[in-house]
Amino acid sequence: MAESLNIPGVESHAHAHEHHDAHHDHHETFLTKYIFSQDHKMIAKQFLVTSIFMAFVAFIMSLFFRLQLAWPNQPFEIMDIFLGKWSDNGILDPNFYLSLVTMHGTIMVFFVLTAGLTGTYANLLIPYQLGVRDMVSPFMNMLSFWFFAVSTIIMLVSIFVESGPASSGWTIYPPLSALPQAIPGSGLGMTLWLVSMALFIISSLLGALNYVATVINCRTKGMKMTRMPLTVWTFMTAAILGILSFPVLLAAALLLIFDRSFGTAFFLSDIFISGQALEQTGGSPVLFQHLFWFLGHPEVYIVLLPALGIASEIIATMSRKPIFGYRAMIASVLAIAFLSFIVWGHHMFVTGMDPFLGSVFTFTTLLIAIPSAIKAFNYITTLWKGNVILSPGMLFAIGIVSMFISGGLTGIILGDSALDINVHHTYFVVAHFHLVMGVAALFGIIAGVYHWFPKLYGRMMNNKLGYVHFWITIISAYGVFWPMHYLGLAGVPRRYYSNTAFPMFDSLQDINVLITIFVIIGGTAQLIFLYNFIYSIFKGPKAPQNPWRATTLEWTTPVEHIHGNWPGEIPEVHRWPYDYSVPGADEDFIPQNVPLSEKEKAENTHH
Amino acid sequence: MIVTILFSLVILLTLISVGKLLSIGELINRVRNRESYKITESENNWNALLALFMLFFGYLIYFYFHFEYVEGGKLLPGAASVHGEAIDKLQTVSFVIISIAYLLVQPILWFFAFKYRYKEGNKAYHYAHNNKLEMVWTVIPAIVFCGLIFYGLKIWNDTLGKEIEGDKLTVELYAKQFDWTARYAGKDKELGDANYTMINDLNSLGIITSETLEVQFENINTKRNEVLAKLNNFPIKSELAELKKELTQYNHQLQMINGLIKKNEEAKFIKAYDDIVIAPGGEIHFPVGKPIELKMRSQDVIHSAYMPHFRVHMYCVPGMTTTFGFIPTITSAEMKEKLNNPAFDYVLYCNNICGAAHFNMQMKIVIETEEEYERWLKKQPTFADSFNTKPAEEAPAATDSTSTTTSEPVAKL
Repeated sequence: MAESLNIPGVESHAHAHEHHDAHHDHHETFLTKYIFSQDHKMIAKQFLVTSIFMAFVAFIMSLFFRLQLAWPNQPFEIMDIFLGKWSDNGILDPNFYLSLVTMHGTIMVFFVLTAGLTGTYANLLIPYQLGVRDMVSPFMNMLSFWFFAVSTIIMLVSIFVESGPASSGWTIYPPLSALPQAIPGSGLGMTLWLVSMALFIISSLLGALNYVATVINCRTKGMKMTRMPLTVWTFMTAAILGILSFPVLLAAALLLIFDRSFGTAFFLSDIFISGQALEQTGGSPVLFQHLFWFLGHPEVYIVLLPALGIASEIIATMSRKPIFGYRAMIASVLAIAFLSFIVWGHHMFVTGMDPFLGSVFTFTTLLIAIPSAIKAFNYITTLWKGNVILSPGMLFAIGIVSMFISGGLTGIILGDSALDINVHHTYFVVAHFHLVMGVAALFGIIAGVYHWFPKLYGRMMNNKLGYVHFWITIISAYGVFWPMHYLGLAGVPRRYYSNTAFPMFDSLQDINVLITIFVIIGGTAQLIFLYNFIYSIFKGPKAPQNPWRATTLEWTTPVEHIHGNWPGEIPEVHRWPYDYSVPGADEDFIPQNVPLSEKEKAENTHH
Repeated sequence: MIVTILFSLVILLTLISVGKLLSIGELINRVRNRESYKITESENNWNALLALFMLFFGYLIYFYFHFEYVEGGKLLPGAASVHGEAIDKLQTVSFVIISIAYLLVQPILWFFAFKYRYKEGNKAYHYAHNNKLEMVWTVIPAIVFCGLIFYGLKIWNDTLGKEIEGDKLTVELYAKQFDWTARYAGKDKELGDANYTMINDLNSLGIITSETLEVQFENINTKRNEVLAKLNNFPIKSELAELKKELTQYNHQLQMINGLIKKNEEAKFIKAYDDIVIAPGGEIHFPVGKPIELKMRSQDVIHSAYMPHFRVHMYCVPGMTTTFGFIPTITSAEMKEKLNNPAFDYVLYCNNICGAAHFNMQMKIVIETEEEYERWLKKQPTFADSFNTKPAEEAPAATDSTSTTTSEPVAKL
């Protein structure tokens, strides 16, 4: 298929060799190598570096609002320095507080977790692990990054507009997001937000189409679907989720743009604001929520599944054991992906929607717990009787599972419509999704950096710094998000500028102080990571070809990046990716490209 | 203060020990000429020990917060409503289940990381799958979750899936940036109709009666004529667009009001006269033990009516009316006694981001006995009272009512 289309950079195994010679003539300039690169490895790095930068931006935002929440209305000089007119003698402006909350959420969900995970690791690992020289369309891949880059720049620019950035929450529920009269952030800031998101969606679609097409069309010889590493399974599933759900968000964003600028009434009805009765009638604000969460919920799995895929890969490799229940893991991923499309209503139990509909969403939501439970138990069984090497990547992978368990369990409370009535929009929700989606997915990115750094930069990161980074980070993550559950159970709503207006929350203020202290500690720990990351790019020890003694194909490529990934022929795959500690084998791992031995053939037990 | 010092100390010590650890590590590496990325067995053992520590840390945070906050009574008190008690029970059952799962599974994860740490010469057990085992942890959660689903759905349907029957009290909760207005249905037990085009400074709920129609028509007509005059007076270009927009807005509004006036001629809007409006800053009173039907509306953006003590929560969405029915079971006085906190108040607050002052959009709720409630209710003026005229079932005197609507009591609306 691929060679008949004559797509550059992609060859089927049969033609690999002839094509490869052409690559030697390929001269690259700085511009084509580092900026407008079409090489999947370089694009992966571009996504990674951008998303790490955005993670720090979003983190610093959270620091500002955490200071306000812990010590409400106390002046902090740091606010004056950084926030300018949005800080009144060191006290955060309430409107800008909402902007910070909104931008923190938007940047983290889309620009860090979505782009950082799929953008980086799907790009890096799909061609590498499937034995492909590059994506189906390297040009589209490049466009995907550059749409993302432009969208990032617009989102960053929106922070500096005079009326302030978007401030109606990352879920941008209209009418609040549609009416600049209601909140200043819904002026130019919101327009830029929508434009930026539209570009982001285009970028995500270009990427996702490429990932799915590559996985389906371009696997090397012998790489049956059931021999693909779980990482690739999760990247592909997440990409399909993106293809099916992101266009719905684009539709919602477009309709919102119409409502904002052209006087239509898709989401607006019967509104009286700043002394004016608006003309729009007949629209439904709840319709927007349906459209938003039709993306919003699959989005959770778009970021979580790749993190779980990365965890599967690292845990199997570092336990020196096959992943337990490979097929069950694939089935769970597919089940979760399917169910993720029919649960969006659990974000809307108390919007006034029909109680019967609420029942249906409760049912489907709690069903997700079953494949999730299977995955958690399978990870644990993979560790059982392993020979576990606790590399920093492995620790973060175990951290993912830990967060997945802790955060997933509270989902059983939130998914139950009857219980959701009282915890909806409280800190219980904030705690839940930060653990299960935020921290777990962030750990996915970090675990991937430690584990695949040799493939990204050809060097190794410092382990000791990695250990310090991990232990401070996981303790802080629990320190920040665990106490939040109790705030929620006490009825404290999210997105409150301060809780001082309610005497009933006074006895909980020390929780807020505790959380902020852990935010500061956890944030400092990320500087250790940043230092380790940058230092190792330039000065880290040169990586051996296969430092973790892993079985998958990326470790058969040379350490130095070359265009087309393999200097000679593309390796052929003979076995599944989890042949660790096979009884009777010489080594405790057998790479996928090693042919079956006579004994194995005789036993005929292989995948 | 002490906490801050303690934490600074902890951070400082951590940083110092990290620094020491690293420099020692570097030194050893240089001496032994070992590549620093290779994980030594002692490093692995140290991390395994820390994984064991995580096991205890998991228990520590669970039990500390459980005893300090859950048992310590710092969270919400038990529900003060009939359906709330059922929700509390379901919540307890669910929390017991997830706590057991957390306290069992989380430690196993960390324990395995510790127990099966790398040892020279060990070989991992090649164990790829076991269908029986996988069936066990598919079926057991499936049964448990199905139980939870059906239990939960029963409570959910009991709470929201049923019409409130019998002698009920209908109360409207009206949200706008950034306060609440409550409206009681009055003697006829029905809320008077309202429309957003009817809203003005004196009628913030947009209630429709013959009088308010008259006032609003005059009001908007005057505004429209002002705009028309400005338009005819050769406005500067920058103002032109704004004026035109205003004109279409007023035209639209007049059209709507005319429609209502026509309807009023066919059948008079009289249901609002006995309604009782509690302005922002007031108190909502409910009689204990009586079914209350809340009807939520919003003037501008989405708000959310959250009354956590009663486990009541519902969005207020512009353009539609949402409802929530509940029966309060504990009076404010009883609750104060129960919690031993004379300052305790039930409270309604906004739980959906709605703008700058979202964090302070609240109203006090008082639950009292039927008699106390009746006494309180008698003291509240009806909507008709605010016109200083009798419920005008006959045609209202146009000029009179216009002048009275601007009088003092209405201004409190």
